[in-house]
Amino acid sequence: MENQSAHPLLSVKNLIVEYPPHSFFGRVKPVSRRAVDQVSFEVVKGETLALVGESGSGKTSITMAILGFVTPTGGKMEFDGVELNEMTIAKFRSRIQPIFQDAGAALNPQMKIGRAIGDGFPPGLPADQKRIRALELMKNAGLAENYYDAYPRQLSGGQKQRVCLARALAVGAGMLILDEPFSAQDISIQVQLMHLLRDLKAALGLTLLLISHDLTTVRLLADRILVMRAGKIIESGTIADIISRPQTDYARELIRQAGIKP
Amino acid sequence: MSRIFRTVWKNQNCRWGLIILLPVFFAGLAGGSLTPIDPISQNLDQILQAPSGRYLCGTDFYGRDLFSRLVDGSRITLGLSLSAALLAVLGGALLGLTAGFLRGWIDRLIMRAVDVFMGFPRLFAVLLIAGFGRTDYGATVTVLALFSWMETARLVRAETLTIREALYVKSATALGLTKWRIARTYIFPNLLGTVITNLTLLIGTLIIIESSLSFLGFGTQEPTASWGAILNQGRLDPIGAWWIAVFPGLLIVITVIGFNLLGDGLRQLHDESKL
Repeated sequence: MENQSAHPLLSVKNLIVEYPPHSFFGRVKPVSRRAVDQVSFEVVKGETLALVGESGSGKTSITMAILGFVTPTGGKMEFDGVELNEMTIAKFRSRIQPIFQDAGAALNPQMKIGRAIGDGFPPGLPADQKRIRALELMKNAGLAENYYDAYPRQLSGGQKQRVCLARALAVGAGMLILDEPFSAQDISIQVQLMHLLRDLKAALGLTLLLISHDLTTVRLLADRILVMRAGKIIESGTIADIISRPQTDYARELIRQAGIKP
Repeated sequence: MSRIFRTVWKNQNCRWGLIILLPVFFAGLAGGSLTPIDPISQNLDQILQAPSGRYLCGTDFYGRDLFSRLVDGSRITLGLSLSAALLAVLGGALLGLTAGFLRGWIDRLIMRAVDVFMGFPRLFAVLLIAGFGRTDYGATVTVLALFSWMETARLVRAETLTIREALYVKSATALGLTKWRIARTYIFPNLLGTVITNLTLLIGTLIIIESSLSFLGFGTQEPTASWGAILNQGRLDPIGAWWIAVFPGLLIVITVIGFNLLGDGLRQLHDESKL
């Protein structure tokens, strides 16, 4: 399943994420919900790996566990050979950056765009340098200079997603975790953002973990695909393998829904 | 600065709030120096004069000009309630933010303190302490603030709990920003709407409490004027000398409305990110 020929940048082994049982006025659900069930995969430097599956299949829980927002119940994660845990996650903050589906919610409504991007730069960088570099990143992300002093509410959904990309690049992250980054956008913006991402990846040698329910977007960007269902990986391979020779009915259904002809 | 003032002036609630409050603030700042007649000099030939061209709001039982006393009294009433409200809201916001953001034992400790302080009826607690003889300015401000921070702390904590789960706070955490920086630049600015509204509402409440204290004889002492103390005199002959009760009463109501309007307007502007 994994690409063994190169050194993995991110390695996930037997990851388990469970959400504890909750009670409602004394009525307790007896078992915890297992969102991710013994999932293992590796992401090699410079590749784009896609996690594909319907809502509730555990994709976002994997993202949250990698980013340290959810504590896994079991398993092991390594980034660049170092185990990821509560102690080490802070060290890797600058190297792994998330891009969320709802770009509007990912930006502080009270913070201007220039400052939001500037927050990604290392502390101690002089203000004028911050401005120059933020404007450069905005240009690379396809944003006009005059948005530097704008608030997020003054931008469209696609523009907000570009700001999030610029901010992730400001940190100098080598790996981006993109959680359904295009699904809130209309089709023309989706295409623009995909081209932008492809260009940035080529220019900066980024490693991407793309999470999506839509095979159409995935096949334009991903090198390999993992198909997830009910917290488990049920199929994996290159995009050509999955589309031309799907092994499970679930993968066939995803291909059919995306309107892709094998 | 002029841009901020123009934005504030364009908001209808803010504009009416300021129209009401600016003269009151001006009176508060200028105090007795603004009035043509000395607010504490007695003129026993002119006691209980009804409002007229010479005495705009009439005179009291000692023949003192009521208009001059109301202008002079605004310094005490506004000063006390503004300082106490600022102290209470700043303290409450800081404690609420700490409790909601850090959680754990510090949250439990702060919230139990809120419960304890909320158990005391504010006016009676202030009266109790005033009863021990401390009626000076500093003590009154401290006591008022000490029994007024809890609502702000509760509201700010609840809001912080919501905001700390917001995606933009997760993004800030992923950027590697420190907790202090996230609290200061991501959480606090989004709480400002709540804090501003709370501040203006609390000023209104404290004006009433300060007036009640003076009305009950525990606040400002004669011959110093405050709105509550003047109102207190009005109860001696509410029909015959109606102006002694009506003018300070009206002033209290209008000022409280002014603060509420200004608070509503500022919150609207903040929610629209115009401030």
